[in-house]
Amino acid sequence: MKRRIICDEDFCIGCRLCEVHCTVKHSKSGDILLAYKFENEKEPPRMSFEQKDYSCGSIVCMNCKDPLCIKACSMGAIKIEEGTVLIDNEKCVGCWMCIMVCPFGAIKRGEKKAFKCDHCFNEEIPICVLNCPNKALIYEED
Amino acid sequence: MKYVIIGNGAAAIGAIEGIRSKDSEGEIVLISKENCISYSKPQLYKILNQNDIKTISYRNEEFYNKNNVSTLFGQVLKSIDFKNKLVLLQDDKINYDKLLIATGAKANIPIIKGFEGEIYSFTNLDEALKLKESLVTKDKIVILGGGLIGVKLSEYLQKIGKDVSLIVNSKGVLSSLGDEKISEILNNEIIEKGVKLFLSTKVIGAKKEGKKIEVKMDTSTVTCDAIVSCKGVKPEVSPFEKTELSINIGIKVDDHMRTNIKDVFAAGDVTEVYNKFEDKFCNIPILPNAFNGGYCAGINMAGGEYKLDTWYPMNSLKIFDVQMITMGLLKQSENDEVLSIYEKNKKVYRKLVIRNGKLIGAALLGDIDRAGILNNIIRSNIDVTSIKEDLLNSKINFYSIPRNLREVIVKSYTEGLNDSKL
Repeated sequence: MKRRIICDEDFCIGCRLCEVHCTVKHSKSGDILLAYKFENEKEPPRMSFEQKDYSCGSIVCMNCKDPLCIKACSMGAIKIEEGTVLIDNEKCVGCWMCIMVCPFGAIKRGEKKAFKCDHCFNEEIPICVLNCPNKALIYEED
Repeated sequence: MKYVIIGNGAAAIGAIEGIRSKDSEGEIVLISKENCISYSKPQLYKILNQNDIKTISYRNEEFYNKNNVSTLFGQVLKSIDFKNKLVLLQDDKINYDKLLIATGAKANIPIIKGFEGEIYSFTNLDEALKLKESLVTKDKIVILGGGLIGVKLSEYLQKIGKDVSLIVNSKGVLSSLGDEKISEILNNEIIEKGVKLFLSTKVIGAKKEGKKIEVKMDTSTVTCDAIVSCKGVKPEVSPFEKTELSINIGIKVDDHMRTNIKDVFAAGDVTEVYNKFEDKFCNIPILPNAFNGGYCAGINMAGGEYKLDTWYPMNSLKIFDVQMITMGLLKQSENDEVLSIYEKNKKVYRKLVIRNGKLIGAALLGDIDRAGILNNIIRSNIDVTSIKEDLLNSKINFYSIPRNLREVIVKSYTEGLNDSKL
């Protein structure tokens, strides 16, 4: 089983609510005010809204079939667990080999560790998908 | 089916994962010269100020059990009897159906005129630990060679408080990347951080007097406590030299990692693969290339079909405060188009090399975010004529690529790259 979030860019209205919900979901407090006022710098959204001219959409980890990030990681810190590509925070040393190979630019640089969308693997449906007002974000399992 | 893998680095690990993605039953035997689990070569520097080898492990012990791999650690390979499909060890013989040679590379140690003391090197754990032990009593270190290992080691030794002199033949560090600007930026960075950098300098001799070593260069002289040679690596092909295996500098393999001998594959630092951008076979001793080569070999050994897609070098590294990612060919030819931006104060540099409308090389210094988008464009052979200015911009994102191509890219990665028509 693979979890997958697809963004249908024809329906993306550029509201960036996905980023807001992602930030809150991955914050320590789970509270929007605390997250944005005090925790945001340490817990930015795991995905990002990207735009070029009139095209826009959310960039999330695509859970590739044959993930290049896993192969490039210099520490063997990236694994597939329960259908989701996950970075082991303990093992990651921030060599950024994953950033060098991700074709979507979905992996971000933290202070010393890489981080990315985890598909809210402990939830039935990812939080960004649940809260996308125009249903541009679609959740699939295959 | 019995698979035998010689080596325990990134290529060997890649091969195990490649084989197991196709064949969960076959027997896998892994033979390694070193007496430990696989560790990360790019992170080897960390062993200088940490004691636990586990902090640089590439895969844990559980990995071998989980993949049902029998390991023979600490075994010296004598030779291979390709005719009878036998791997000859010091006091054992092991038969194989499919063989992977992933013996890696070893340090180039120069001969220094007049010097009979020890020259240290830094290409594997044994060498690193030996250097580490000696560092307790040594403060002034001379490093020979301005390649990747030499530069990173200079940085680490500098950071743990050693007095480091780096002696480089060429006029800049990392000159093999083929970009003078990168060398210039890094030269300045290294000097700024306190390493004594000698460029365009040759060592002509050295003399040991008591505990001190006097290193004579063509320009001046430096006194030190130890010499470390980081003058590159050469493929470990010595056990195969008298066999029918096709070897140039490394073992020549095709785009399926097959050697010239049936059922014998090779991957990693020991090999040479055909680099289309350079139009020649090249040895690329870098971890991502090694893992991918091994993975490709593994799938093909297990009867799958997989073509190597990382036949050009790519690396991500940090030299002091300069973060950089380089991919593909950076030394342009006469007809290549080059786009670049350079902001000296911010230490930001971006360069793209375009040949016949296709991106063949990219370097990002400073801001490396989303480098993979460029790497994918290189790998996928996409025409960039209409988007090249956007690609140079640090705000590049997935939407910088035209929509029809974006859709193909999403499909090919979510459904499996190697089957794609990109």
